[in-house]
Amino acid sequence: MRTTRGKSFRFGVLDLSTVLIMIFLLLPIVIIVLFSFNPTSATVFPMRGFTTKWYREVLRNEIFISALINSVYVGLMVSCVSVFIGVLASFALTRYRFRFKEMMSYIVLLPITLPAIILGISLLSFFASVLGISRSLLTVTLSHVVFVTPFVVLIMNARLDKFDITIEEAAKDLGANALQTFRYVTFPLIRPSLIGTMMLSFGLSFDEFLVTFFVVGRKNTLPIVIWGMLRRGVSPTVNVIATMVLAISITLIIIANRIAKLRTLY
Amino acid sequence: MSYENTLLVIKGASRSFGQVVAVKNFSLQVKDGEFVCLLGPSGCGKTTLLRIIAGFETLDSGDVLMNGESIIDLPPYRRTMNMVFQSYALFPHMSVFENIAFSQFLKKKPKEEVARKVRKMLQLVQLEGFETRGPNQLSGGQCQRVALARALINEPKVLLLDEPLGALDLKIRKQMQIELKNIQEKLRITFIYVTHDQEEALVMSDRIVLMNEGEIMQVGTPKRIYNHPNSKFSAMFVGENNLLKGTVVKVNSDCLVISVDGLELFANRTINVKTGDPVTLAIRPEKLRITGELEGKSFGNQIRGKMVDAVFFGSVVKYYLRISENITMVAEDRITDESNARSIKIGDGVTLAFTRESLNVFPE
Amino acid sequence: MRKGKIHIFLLLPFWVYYILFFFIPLGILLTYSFWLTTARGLVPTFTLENYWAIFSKKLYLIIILRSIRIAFIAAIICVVVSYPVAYSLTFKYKKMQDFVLYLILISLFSSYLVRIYAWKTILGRQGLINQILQYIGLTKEPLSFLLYSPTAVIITLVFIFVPFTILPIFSSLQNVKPELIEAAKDLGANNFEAFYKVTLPLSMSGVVTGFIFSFILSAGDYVTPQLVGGTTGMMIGKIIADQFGMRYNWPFGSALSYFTLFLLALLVYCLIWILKILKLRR
Repeated sequence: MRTTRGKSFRFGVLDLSTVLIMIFLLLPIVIIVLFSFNPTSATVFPMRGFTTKWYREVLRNEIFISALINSVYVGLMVSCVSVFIGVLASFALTRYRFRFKEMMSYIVLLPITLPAIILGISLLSFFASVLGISRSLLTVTLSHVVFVTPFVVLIMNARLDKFDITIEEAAKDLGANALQTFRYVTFPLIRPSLIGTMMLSFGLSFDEFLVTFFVVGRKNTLPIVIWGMLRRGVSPTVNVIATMVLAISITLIIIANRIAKLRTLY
Repeated sequence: MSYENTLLVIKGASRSFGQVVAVKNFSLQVKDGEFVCLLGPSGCGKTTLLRIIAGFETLDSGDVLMNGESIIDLPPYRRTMNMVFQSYALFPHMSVFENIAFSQFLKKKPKEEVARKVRKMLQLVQLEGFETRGPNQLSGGQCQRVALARALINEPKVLLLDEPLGALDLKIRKQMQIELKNIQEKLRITFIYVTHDQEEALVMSDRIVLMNEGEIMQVGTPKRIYNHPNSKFSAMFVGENNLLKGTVVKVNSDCLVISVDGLELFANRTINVKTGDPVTLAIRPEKLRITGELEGKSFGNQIRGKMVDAVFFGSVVKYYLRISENITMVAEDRITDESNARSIKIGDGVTLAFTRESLNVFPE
Repeated sequence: MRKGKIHIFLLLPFWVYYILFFFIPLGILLTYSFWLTTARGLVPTFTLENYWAIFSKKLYLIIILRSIRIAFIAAIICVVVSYPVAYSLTFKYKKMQDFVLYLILISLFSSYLVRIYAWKTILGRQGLINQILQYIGLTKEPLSFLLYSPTAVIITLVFIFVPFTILPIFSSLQNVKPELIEAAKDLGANNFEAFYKVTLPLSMSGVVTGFIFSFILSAGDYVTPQLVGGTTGMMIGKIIADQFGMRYNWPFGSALSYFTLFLLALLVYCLIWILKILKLRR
């Protein structure tokens, strides 16, 4: 391997620390995956064999299945709502000039600079006292949108800042009205980013615990179920669930990359 | 200029952005089939004007008429003109074919007809066989040809070009200049061409509109603008000029006598001035002749100078000549044959001669 | 860039949503912090009693300060650890860039709770580290301070939030063109000076963003301390969470939240101010 500027490669401090940090990041994940196949229920090193019985147990577990369905449902709702709100806001922030625009771009980011616990308890107070609605998957969805949307805005801003506006002008010049310009030019060009933000929104919502904990009702999401398991003392099924979640996210990332390939006019 | 075949009329167009005035009371008439260049330094408002004509910018006041009808309220996609952008603005997600076919696709033309027209366009811009390529597989010159074909397939009455060759390197730019000119002559479409490159304007256009700070400075054929600049700005912007400051000492019936740093120069009386007025004189380097003492007499103006420097440019040599304490002039000499190159050395005294016609005079 | 009124319509959904589900809830929480909890329930009033209560027991202040200290150390480690990764990703491993970024994303997307729990199994008495240490004979007895201590909390927090610092630093390093570093060296700077005078200032915005992110996320985390912190690793998030859980003292919890939030904001503000004075930022 060679460095970018042609000097011969030396394995220095920089490389060592990078590799160590990557190991640090990935080791726990590897352990989770490995121990999901461990036959004994205690997570003790070294592993005592190989089994898939915990997988079968999880797939038979109704609590897990219904929590999975709830989480997918919330994730889908959240990604639709937050992508809608976030993309419109991002268009305003990148394409138009108006007063307090700079302030606006900071306000958009406020929810993710607020500690999750405070967002959680304030939403709990709000739902319980003002709206008087009981906690449910709806309150979970409404809460998730609050901290997911800023991420959507961040990603879309990065994309739209790079967007060459003359391409849209060229389309209008060639006879496309506003709708046609969006359909044939703008939309296909931002589609990969849109898919990316939807995946990210789904992922953020799917894994969220800190806010969810306060606003969840009788129907549980997956992290709440996992929390319950962790508190009751660990069984290997937790590893299995985590491995399955990981597999699903990797698949989603790969699919997102494939869909991103563009379709055109004819 | 006759009104008969006038295609596009711009009447008193003005546009400002906040405090900045981009276009100021601009009026112009463009004939059908004419090649007009909007020439000026960057920030002179030429691109804004082009975008006003295309419909991407609004007007504060004034009007744009096409065939006698105002088009100012029409959106860009309703105007019978098309634009070639400096950045090409090709659709990155479409092939060359799809890019060119875009306007026809929107018009829902039958596929066979579109394919035939695209083929014809590719032939015109010499890109046959590139149909399935993507824009990122093309060179800059090829991109610009696609952009041109994409605009021309729509059979616009006016083609607007915004510095289309600005991003290309010199050699391809020169080649494209000739090609563009040929295409324009072949199709007889009106071209409105924005550029800051005065050479490009001189080579290509039927008429040059010289702009500065949102206003028209001079309108005329390339020859007219080159030979008879009407202002200091024109003289400085188009081609190279020696600029001299002087005072009118005598006004004769046909000629002016002007004193420049103690020297007396004669110019044709093209403007109204009276004795004592300060004026600016402009003379092109190639109009200055380095002569012997005797032959210089027939030119009408003759001054002595001392050579301070000579710079070799390949086909020409530029001589830097000090004619007085404060004034150094540039004379250009074309080398036709190595053997006849002048054998003057730095420090030599020389005689400079030039005609009265070649000396342009503007009021200060 | 266009002018006009269209941006109002584009921002309308955002404003409606955020006023309703962000600003009003925060306002309500603030209101609660001035109310009182009695045996009969909540009493709407205006009192600063909840805020005084924070100072009534030493415990609360100790835990708040500890939370801030732990979060601060974790955030510093996050930044220090992320920089080499982001740096080598940008300048050294161009070909592997996408792959490594995927690995980081995967770590981000694997379950938050289970990742914390995985560290518990690594750090525990019979965890990976103790097993290895005993195997190679460095220790006879398993080390018990690894788990249920502030150290354990810091290690775990760093692990969870490092992706949040790598990504902003990586993206800010994209602004540093290799030519700039070469120009600096050409003008006589050595490696360190080139880094300190060119690379670091240009990537400082990413460092600051990453630091603030990991600092605030760490300070507000109430799961990590609960799972790996034990009593000495207890943090303020847990106390606040308890007020809204089994203790059922919302006004006190609200006051505690706002007080902590105020301290965090003050610290972040001071940090940015110091950086501005040092002229490190941009």
